Amino acid sequence: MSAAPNLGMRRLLIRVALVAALVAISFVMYDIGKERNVLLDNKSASIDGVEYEALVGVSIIVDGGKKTGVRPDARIAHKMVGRTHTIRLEISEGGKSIERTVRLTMNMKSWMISLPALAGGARDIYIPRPAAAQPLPPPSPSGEPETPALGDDGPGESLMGI
Amino acid sequence: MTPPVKNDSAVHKFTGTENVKHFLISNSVPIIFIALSAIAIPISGFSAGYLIQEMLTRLARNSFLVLSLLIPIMAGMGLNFGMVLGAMAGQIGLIFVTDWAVVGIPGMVLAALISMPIAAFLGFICGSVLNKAKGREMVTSYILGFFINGIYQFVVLYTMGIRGLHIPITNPQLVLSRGFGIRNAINLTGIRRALDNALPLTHNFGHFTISIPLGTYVTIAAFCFFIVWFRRTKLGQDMRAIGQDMAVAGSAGIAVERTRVIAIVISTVLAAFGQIIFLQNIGTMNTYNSHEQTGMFSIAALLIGGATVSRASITNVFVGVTLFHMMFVVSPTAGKELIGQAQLGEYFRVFVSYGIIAVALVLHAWKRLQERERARRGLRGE
Repeated sequence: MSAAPNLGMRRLLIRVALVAALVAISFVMYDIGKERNVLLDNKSASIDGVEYEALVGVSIIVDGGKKTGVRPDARIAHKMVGRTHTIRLEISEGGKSIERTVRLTMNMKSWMISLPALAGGARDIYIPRPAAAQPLPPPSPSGEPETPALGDDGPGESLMGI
Repeated sequence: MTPPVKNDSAVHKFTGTENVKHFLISNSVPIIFIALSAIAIPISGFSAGYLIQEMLTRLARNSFLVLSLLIPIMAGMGLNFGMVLGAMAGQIGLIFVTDWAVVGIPGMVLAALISMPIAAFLGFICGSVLNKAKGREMVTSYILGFFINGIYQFVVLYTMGIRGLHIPITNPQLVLSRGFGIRNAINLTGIRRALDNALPLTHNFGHFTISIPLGTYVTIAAFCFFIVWFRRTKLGQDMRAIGQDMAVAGSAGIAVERTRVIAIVISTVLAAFGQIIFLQNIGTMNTYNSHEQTGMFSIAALLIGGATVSRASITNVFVGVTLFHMMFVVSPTAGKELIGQAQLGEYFRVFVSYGIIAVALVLHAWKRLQERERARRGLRGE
C-alpha cells in the first residue's frame, strides 16, 4: 500500500531535481555568456596610497586577441565575454611584457581597469568608473504619454491588419 | 471460353497506370511546386550557386520550426497553428538575454531555458483548450494564437520596462522612450548567427563558394533523431494510437487527453527553440510581428512537402522547406521579370506564400476524396 506514495514522492523529487538543474544551468550560462563592457584606463592613478604613472608606448592584448595601442591619458572600451580574462601589456620602452589574469565578479556593477596599476603589480587594479549615462527623465507632469519616434512605437497598423 | 477469374482475394490489385495515378495524386502538391519552381528559376535568372546557398541557409533557419509540427500530427491533432505560442515564448527569452547582454551559444541556451517553462505553460493551456474542441483543433489553435498574442502584446508593451511596477528591462536600447514597453525591432547582435557559426564550413566549388551553417544542421539532425526515437517510445506509440482512433486508444487504456496535452506541450516547447534558432539566423527580432508569420509559413512549408493534416514525415519537412523557400526566393524576381514592376513582384510573393496554404488544403481535401474512392473501389474489387 505504501508503494503509491513512494512513487509520488520519487516523481516529485525527480521533478524538483530537474528544475534545480535547469536553474543551475541557467546561472552557468549567464556567467559564461555575460558580455561586459570594460574600460581599460591608461591615466595616472592613485591606489592604496601608491601613485602609478600613465604608461607610454603600451599595447594591450586581451585573451590572445588583437593588439591595440593605448596612448597615455587615454582609455579604451573592450567587450569581454565571461568572467576570467587574460590581459597582456607590451611596453615598448625596455621591451617589457606583463600578463595578468583578471576576474570580473558578478557583484561589480561596472568595470574600469587601471593599466598603470596593472603594470605596477597592484593588488587592486579596479578603479571607479566615470558616471554612467544620465537616468531617464521623470514622466511628464501632465500624465500625457510621450509620442514615440516613428518606427519606435511598438506594434503599428500592420499588427492590427491581421 | 474466358479464363477463370482468380478469386482467392477479394481485394483488387491495382494496375501500373493506376499506381502511377495514385502516386501523382499522393504527391500532387510537391509536384505542382516543383513544376512552378522549374518555370520560375530560369525566368528569375539566379545562378545555381546563389540558389544553393540560399536554400542551405533557409533550410537551417526554418527546419527546426517545421519539425516541431510533427508530434501533434502524430497524435491526430492536425497542424498545430498554436506553435506561435511557443514562438512568443522564444521571443520573451530573447528579450531577456538581450537585456542581460548574454551572448553567443550561452545566450541562446539561456534564452531556450527561459522560454521553456513559458512555452510549457502556454502549451498546457493550448492542449487543455484543444481537448475541449476535439475534431476542430486546427481552427481552435489558430484562434488561440490570436488570443495569446493579445496577452503577449500586453506583457511586452505594458509590463516590461525601466519604470514602474514592471518586469525589469534595463537596457534603454530595448525600451521605448516612454520608459516601458519593448521597441518594435530588437537587434540581436549578441547571438546573431551564434549557432550557425559554431561549426563553420565553407567549400569552394570554383565558380562559387558555399558556406554551410553546420552547427544548426547538427542541432536539426539531433532533433530528427529525437523524433525517430520518440516514435518508438511508449508515449510515441500512444500518440500514434490516438492519432489512428481516439476511441479505440481510450478503450485500450491510454490516457487520451493527457497524451494530447503532452503532444502540444512538446510541440510548443520545440517551437520556442525553433524560433530562437530562426531569429539567431536573421539577427533582428520584430517584437510584435515575428511570431505571427512563424505558424503560417511553417505549416505552408510542411504541406508543400507533401504532408497532410493526418500524416507527416521528416522527409516532408525538408522537401517542403526547400520548395517553399525556392518559390520564396525566385517568385518576386520571376514576377518582376514577367510583369515588369518590382511592387507587383512583391505582391506575387505574398500571393504565393498565402495561396500555397489554400492550394495545399484544397488539394488535401481532394486527395482524401480520391483515396476514399480508391479504397472503396478496391474493396468492391473494381
